[in-house]
Amino acid sequence: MMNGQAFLQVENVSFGYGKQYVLKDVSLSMYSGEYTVLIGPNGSGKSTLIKLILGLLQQQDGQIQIQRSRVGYVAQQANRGLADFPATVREVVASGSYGQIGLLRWMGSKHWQGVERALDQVGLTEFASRKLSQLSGGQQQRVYIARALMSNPQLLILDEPTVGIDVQAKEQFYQLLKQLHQQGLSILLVSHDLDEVISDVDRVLCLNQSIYFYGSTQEFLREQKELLPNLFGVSTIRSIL
Amino acid sequence: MIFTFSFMQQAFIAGVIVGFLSPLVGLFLVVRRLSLIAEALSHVNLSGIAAGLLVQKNFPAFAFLQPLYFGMFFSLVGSLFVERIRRLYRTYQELAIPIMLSFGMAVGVIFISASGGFNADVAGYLFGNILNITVQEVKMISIVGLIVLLVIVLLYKELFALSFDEEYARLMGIRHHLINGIFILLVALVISISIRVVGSLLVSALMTIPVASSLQIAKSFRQALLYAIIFAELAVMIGLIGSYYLNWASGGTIVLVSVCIFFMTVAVRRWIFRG
Repeated sequence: MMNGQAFLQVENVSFGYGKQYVLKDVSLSMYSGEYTVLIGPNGSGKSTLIKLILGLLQQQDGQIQIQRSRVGYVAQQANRGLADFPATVREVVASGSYGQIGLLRWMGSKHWQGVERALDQVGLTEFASRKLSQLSGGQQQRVYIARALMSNPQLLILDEPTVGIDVQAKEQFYQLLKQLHQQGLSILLVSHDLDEVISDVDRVLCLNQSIYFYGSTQEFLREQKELLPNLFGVSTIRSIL
Repeated sequence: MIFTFSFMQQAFIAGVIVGFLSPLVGLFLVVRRLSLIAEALSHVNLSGIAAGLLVQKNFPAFAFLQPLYFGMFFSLVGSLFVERIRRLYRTYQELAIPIMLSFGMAVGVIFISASGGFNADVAGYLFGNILNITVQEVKMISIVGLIVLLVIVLLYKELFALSFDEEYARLMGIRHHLINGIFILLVALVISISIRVVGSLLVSALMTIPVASSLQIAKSFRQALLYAIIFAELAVMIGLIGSYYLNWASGGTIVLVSVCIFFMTVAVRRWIFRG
């Protein structure tokens, strides 16, 4: 899976508020085509690490190397206050290309074709003209994946995207991520649903302020009996909440 | 026919322009939950107008400077302050609104009292008097309106992205501080040119009520824009004609029609859902 040079390199990154560290001395590398799941207890610094990678926060120590224009992002459903926003699915997905199009330019036919392609990839073509608020939570998260795909990303970062979504929609969502990974997209997924995704991912990253474990899925499965009780206080990945 | 009168023609032109632009910027304000910014800036605008009236009274040499220009200048400066104060707070950004609103009102009251208290001129700016609008004011409204329209057309996609999801817009590299700054200046300009039509106290009504009506039935953002503009134009036309024949205050009549349209859209929506 490690093809060529890493396109995401996090080196000795630390971040905190005052003297309280949220992240300490974190290093990791992601290579093209990798699917990594990031797990850790609540307050372990997962979302902070994601925000640092995305450039929404500035690290106090260390370095992060990434081409941010080639990163797509899907946030937690629960964090969005967009329930009543008067926009169609097509309008929301199209907005994912606005950064690339640039100031004082309009959407061309090439961009609109990209919108239809992204909708097709996430299986929402028939919902394109619906208002976003008319879709279920799981469907809305697929809309945000389609929006992220509009920037033609190398890496898709998802921060607990299935929180508040029903079990069936979760399964469909993770199936979609698996398909996108098989098409060559690199994925960094923050999730507690390790049981659902463990068979799909290449690497597991356990975080608890610093990196607790970072290795292949096979290595993780071999060491899980030692890792999980220390990290989550549980003995199986099915018990992680 | 009332439109054979030149004062009605001026009123009609000014009303159509304001009826187009107010909901256009109003929709972006409403979906970003910033509709009260219009209220704050209209109060700042009033303080500028009061300053203009004071200057006209005490310095006859500057009588050529319309109070509207003072109002516009005050709103533009006030809009920059609103944006600066908003950035001071991460989670309490709306605090900028009561601060600027109170400041505008306080300065306005001081200037009004210094220029001899309330009179017909002040009332005209407070409650609107579109039927007394001058040719010069219509020209100014047309030029400012054209500039606002052009900027919104050029920045439409950035404004949409920022309104929908500011964090994601930042991630995409959209220059949010610049666009937000330009947008708030546009709001200040639209408020300045709307003062003569509906008055300082009702200016935010034309920015928000047609949008509220449109949000009841719109199925997309473009539809929301279109319906909001149609409802605002209807309110302006019916309100103008109504105020002429009934001899009512034009600003109040326009806003009253706008509220009636809002209740009709609520009824239509309920009827559709029942159906």
